[in-house]
Amino acid sequence: MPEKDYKLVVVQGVKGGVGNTAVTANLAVALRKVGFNVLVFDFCKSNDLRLHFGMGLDRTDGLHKGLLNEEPWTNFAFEDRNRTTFFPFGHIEQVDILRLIFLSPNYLTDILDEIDFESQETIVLVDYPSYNSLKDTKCLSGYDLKINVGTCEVSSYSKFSASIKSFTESDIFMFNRYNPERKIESDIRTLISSEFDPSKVLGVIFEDEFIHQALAQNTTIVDLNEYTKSSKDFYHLAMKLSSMLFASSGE
Amino acid sequence: MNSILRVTWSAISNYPFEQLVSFLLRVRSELKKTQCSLFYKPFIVCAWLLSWALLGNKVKKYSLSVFFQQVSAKYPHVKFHRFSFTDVLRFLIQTVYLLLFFSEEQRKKRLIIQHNNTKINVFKSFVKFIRKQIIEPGRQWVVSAFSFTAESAPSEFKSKLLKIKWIRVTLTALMLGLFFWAIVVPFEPINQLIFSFILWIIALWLRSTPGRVATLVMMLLSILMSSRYIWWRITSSLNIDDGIGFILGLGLLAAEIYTWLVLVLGYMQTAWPLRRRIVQLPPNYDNWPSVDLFIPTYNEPLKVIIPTVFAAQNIDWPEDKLNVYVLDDGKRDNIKEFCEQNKISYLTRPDNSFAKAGNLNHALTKTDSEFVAIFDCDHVPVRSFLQMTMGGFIKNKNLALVQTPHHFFSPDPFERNLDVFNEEPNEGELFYGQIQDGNDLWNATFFCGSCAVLRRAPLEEVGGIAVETVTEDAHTALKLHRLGYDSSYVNLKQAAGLATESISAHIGQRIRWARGMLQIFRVDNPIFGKGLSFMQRVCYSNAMLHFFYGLPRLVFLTAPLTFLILHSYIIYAPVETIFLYVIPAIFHANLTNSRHQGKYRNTFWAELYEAVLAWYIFRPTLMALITPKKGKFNVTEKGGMIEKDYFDWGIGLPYLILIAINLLGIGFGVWRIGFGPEAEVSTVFMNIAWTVYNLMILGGVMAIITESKQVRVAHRIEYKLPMTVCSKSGFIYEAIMNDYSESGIGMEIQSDQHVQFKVGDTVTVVLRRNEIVHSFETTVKFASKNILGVKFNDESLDSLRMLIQITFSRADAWEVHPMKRDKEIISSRLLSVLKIGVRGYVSLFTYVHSYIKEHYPQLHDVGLYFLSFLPKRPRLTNN
Repeated sequence: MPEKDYKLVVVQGVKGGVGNTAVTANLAVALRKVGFNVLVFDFCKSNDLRLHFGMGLDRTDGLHKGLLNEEPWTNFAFEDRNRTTFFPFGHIEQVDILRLIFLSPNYLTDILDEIDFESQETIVLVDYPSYNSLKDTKCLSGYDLKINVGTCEVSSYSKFSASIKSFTESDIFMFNRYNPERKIESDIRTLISSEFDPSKVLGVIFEDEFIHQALAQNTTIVDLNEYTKSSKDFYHLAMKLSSMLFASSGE
Repeated sequence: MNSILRVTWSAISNYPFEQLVSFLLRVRSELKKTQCSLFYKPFIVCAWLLSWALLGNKVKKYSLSVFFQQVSAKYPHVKFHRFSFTDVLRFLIQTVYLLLFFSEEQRKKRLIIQHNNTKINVFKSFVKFIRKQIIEPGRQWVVSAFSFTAESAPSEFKSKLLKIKWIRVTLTALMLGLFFWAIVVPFEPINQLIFSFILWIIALWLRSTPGRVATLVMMLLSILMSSRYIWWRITSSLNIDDGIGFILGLGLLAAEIYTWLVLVLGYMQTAWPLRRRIVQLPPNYDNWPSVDLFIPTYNEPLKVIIPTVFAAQNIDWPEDKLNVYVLDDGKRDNIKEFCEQNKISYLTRPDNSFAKAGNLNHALTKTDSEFVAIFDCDHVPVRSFLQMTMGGFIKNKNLALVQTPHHFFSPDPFERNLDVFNEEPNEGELFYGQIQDGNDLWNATFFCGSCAVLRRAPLEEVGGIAVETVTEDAHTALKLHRLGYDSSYVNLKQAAGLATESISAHIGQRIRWARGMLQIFRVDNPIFGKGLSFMQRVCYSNAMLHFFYGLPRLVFLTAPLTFLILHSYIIYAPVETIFLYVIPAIFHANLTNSRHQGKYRNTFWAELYEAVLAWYIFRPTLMALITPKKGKFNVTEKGGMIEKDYFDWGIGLPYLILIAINLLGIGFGVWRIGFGPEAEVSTVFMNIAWTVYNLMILGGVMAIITESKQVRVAHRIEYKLPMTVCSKSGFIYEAIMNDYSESGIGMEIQSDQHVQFKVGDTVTVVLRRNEIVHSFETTVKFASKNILGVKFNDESLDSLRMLIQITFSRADAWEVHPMKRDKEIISSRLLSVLKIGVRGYVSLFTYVHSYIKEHYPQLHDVGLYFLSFLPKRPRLTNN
């Protein structure tokens, strides 16, 4: 099997509403800004990723919508101002969603195989829906790393604990929306950190109003203001992620 | 006639009277502007017109009021708005003064001086350039050449030769003989001059040569020159015929011999600081030994004990192998309650015999771990304390004691009163930075009573902590060393505590140390008795001898007065010869010490430290020397406040008397220059110079005993640490901590724009130490641009425990202390001591002044009245 030119990283919430779309978008921009070639795919039917990249609410076309309509995928590659390439999901009516299961099982890898990355270090991020809504889209396989995004809440902790047995080598974790003012959150954070291998914990992002403000301005916090705590945290995450991806490739 | 009248009339009528009137009006309004008294007005107008007439156009452009301002600026103490006769007198005195010192010529001279200064600056920068471009590279080259030869020196042949015993012995004997000969050989003055000059050059060259060998050679040179001086003093400078002079001269000589002895022993003690490395612990926790951690206390408030207890619990060590005990001799209920709440063992005993030593010994009978760690109740340990110290015990089964330095996070009285906290090395730095490290080489580390670990078995073998003397710690170590046990010193700040809060408390503490050390000297003299190696005897002897400094210091402070006032020659030799011997000795000693210990103590500062204590320490040391059994243990007070600046008259009195007689001595000296025999003038000058130096040191003492206020109970500790700040509305900022204390945090928000925090806002700060993350709700107390000062809202013990866990307990909490130190330059150090001296006199004057103002206001007013007649420096004007 020929060597892949890209690293496939899946970002998935352990449950719904933990903010993995925001994490994906910010991580993508941070990775892009530290010099990687970045491709982002939105696999969430809510089609929110595009909002982080400056795409208007009225634009509803996207990759999955196109695939259903049998249009070429190249039509749906967009670029934001940092030259991050992203593929929005596209707005699909409820009735059409079911038709997604008829797509070829490896359509993502097929698309990626068609791209010539010109041997640049490329990271492909996939914003993947949480476990609850798995049935809606294809299950991915063959990824290099999977980032399990959770919060420091009891429900997240229970999900973490329940799925820990099925975790593989390429599963890592990160906490989003950490609120230090709440005692329970710091306790759960300590609990989860102590239960898992520390090298598997990617990092922590605070519950930060700046992130919400950035989305309101149709962009990411990393892009909007590099000096905020959250931007710096995303940079740290990006650096750590890249070291995980490229150190394991063995030189 | 008519025509004359007409011409006159027409002249008058054609004259532009409007101008005259307007001119007069302007003069009038200008005069009004000046607001000066009616009496001065005509004079001012006259002076103005006169200067106009004399200087013409130069003055024309200035109006009268400006002219007046210029004049009044030259007479700053004359009140022009109200007339008084005394002001006229002041005016005249000032005029004379101005004509003498502020004439146009003087101004020009000053300009010339300024001009020359710029020339000097140019010259200076030229010298700097030469230094940087030529001398420094040359020096580097010499150094590299030197290190090359040093490396290649121990060749096979040489080392083989040195292995033969008789060659070694002969060589050593030969060298010692030569050294001794160099000390005792008498020189003609000119030869002594050449000899000193050559050694001086060598010492200067060695000073810029890195490496310890160079330091050792410098020490040898210093010993040589001081020994020559002492030998010369003994053999050829005593005046046997002059009764008083002879006795006083012997006194001075004794003080000098003492200083010489301490210098030589000090060199031996610190010749090669060991800089011990940390011994790693075995990887398996099961092999880590169990430790009892004792926190003895007597009367210290609970708030001082709490951080120590929490930090002791935070020490990273297997939980079942660390037992923290609070040993309360005060038998206080609140401390017992606190210990029970926090699961700490609390021990008391029926009596209070033998103070701290007895307290610890009692605890030894109630506990059974293999090791005992001891912390004074204000010494907050960091989490790595045991990991840094215990490795040695496992490696060396004969090791009985591991000591770590005492570090203080509050300023000691010297630092506070001189305002040099965190800027200059403090008083203890020399002992913990160098002397203990030097002792360690000779296996003679002293036990310092806190921040140390002892092995229980040897400790019980010597009968527990020593109770015979008031410095139980040093005596215990001595006993351990006598039994052949090893000691080691780990020079890592693994704990920090509170310094003594006032100079009187500091003096009390030092008196106790001195008394204790001299008790040991009498009761269990380290020079005699069995079990010690030669160098251990040297180290202990020097430690004890050190505390005799009181009397010699007083002798030096008064020695020149014997000539100036009593007119007796205590050094019976020509001034030039004295200089030829004493200057090289002093010079080499200071040069060597500034290189060897400049990092730990500023040159000349030891004199300040010793002078402050001299008077108070010499009586108890004498007492202890005569009757060693007397004297009780006094507890050093800590954690208090000083509410306002004050001058400690009680402590200052002996020094005020010393200053007075020194001033009297200078007065006598001046009189002797005027009326004494001509041959004596140079002697008088030397003695006056010495007295001035002494006065400078005494001024430093004045500066030190002027207590600056200390209102802060929770001391701020400088520490840089990234942290997170959450505003109430949910915005997250990154910040860098500047300092922390038990009650709050100072920080700088990292942001590209000003953050809108206001005083009174509630913010949450998040601190972390690796995986431990704690958040604290705080109130903003100070906000300026991005600098923020916040105070913790929650003052509960839990909150304090969390804070200590991530601040005081950090392994590097005290090691990262940034010290902005200048390079040790002897002349600038001398200057700084001079400045401190001047400062002392200024503060002395201030306090005398305010005392008189408060208690004798009439006297004060009279004084001010007479002072007002003195000429003053003119105010600066734009012109």
